[in-house]
Amino acid sequence: MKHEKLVKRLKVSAVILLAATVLTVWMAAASAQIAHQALDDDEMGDNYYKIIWYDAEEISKPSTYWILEEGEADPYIQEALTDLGHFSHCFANETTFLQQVYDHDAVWEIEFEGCYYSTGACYCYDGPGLMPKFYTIHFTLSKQLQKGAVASGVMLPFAWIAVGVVWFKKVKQT
Amino acid sequence: MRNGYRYYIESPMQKCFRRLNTKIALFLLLLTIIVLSVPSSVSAVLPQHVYVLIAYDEEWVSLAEWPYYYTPETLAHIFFEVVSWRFLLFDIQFIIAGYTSWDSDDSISHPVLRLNEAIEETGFESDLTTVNGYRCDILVAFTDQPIYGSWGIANDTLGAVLVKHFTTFWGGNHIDNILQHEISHLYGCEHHVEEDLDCVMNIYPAYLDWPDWINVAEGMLTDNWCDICTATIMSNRELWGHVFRGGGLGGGGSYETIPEKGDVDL
Repeated sequence: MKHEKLVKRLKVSAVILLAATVLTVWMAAASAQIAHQALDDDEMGDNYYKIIWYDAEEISKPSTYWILEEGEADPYIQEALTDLGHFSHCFANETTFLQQVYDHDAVWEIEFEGCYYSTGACYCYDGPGLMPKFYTIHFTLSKQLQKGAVASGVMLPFAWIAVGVVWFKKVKQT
Repeated sequence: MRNGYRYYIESPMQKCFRRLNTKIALFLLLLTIIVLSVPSSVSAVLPQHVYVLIAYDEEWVSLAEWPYYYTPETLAHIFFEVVSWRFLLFDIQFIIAGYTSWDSDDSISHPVLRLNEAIEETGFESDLTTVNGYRCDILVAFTDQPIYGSWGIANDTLGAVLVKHFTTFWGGNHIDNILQHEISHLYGCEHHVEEDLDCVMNIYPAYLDWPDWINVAEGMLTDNWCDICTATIMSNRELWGHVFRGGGLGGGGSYETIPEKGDVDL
């Protein structure tokens, strides 16, 4: 009977460990992919120019947010806020949009005239004869992935400890 | 009845009809002779025959094996024919002259370099490369190797396009849209950036939700051309290939510029 219980515990521990490992690897891979996309910005030549597309959508009050009046906002952010649900675009060198959203990465949601918005952006290259590929920079997703990676990183040691405890008890009993 | 003869008095109206019938018959006879002797001159737009060399790389070969279970030629043929039908709207008839393969370098990701690689390795030169006895006008290269920053690229000087295989849950297979987009570049079409414009040349982003979570150009979700692009292709339809003077009722057709028969280069 004791042996059966032990096997059951071992199985549960193994499942937790496996789940935590899979989650960690997935989160790390997803974060790396986003970072890789951001790093590849300069790969295209001079004949191709980078376009930033950005949009905003109205949301309910988030826990943290950036009040737009606090700093001098990029006009493109305001444009996105006044044209909700539509992609607006500009050339990469014309905007500080991305930089400003990066600067406020802890509060990527924006409060503007009493309403709350989430902002998003993507970019692509345009040039002669190209069917552009869009690279999405979704700050909320990126942030969640980082949190997820941290969470699973914390979970993993605990999972190992659980396995260790079960194994230690088993050894002690025998 | 006079002098034992029966006279039939023809009214002026009957006389007029009789003469008119003779004239109509003569006109129809003349028209038939013209149509039979010069059949193609009756047609308003002559079809443009464009000979195409299809190339594919090793990643395309793997893709064809799985998940499609086709030969690489068959898979390329299927996608190409889908697009080819759409260009019949302009009386442009693409004809596959032959297939060839090239070995794509995994270290290259820039779209221009990737297309240049395909052109160099296949030795393609528009209107000079001869395959199966036909002079090829354009090169269409299929790949499943990632290309940085684009799903396809066209070189409208050399007459070559490169397309990458790409599918999404919401949009299905996009390679036909990408190919149509790139061939349209060869005919002088340029990008549009306009929301909800139903045109294959529109690069306004469209967001595909879960499970795709990706932005694609709106042109990748349609197989139509807008009025501007339709007019552009129509006006440039003779940029590539040869005008084909069809046989019609008179028999075999001929090309304005006859593609020379020759040895297979590839």
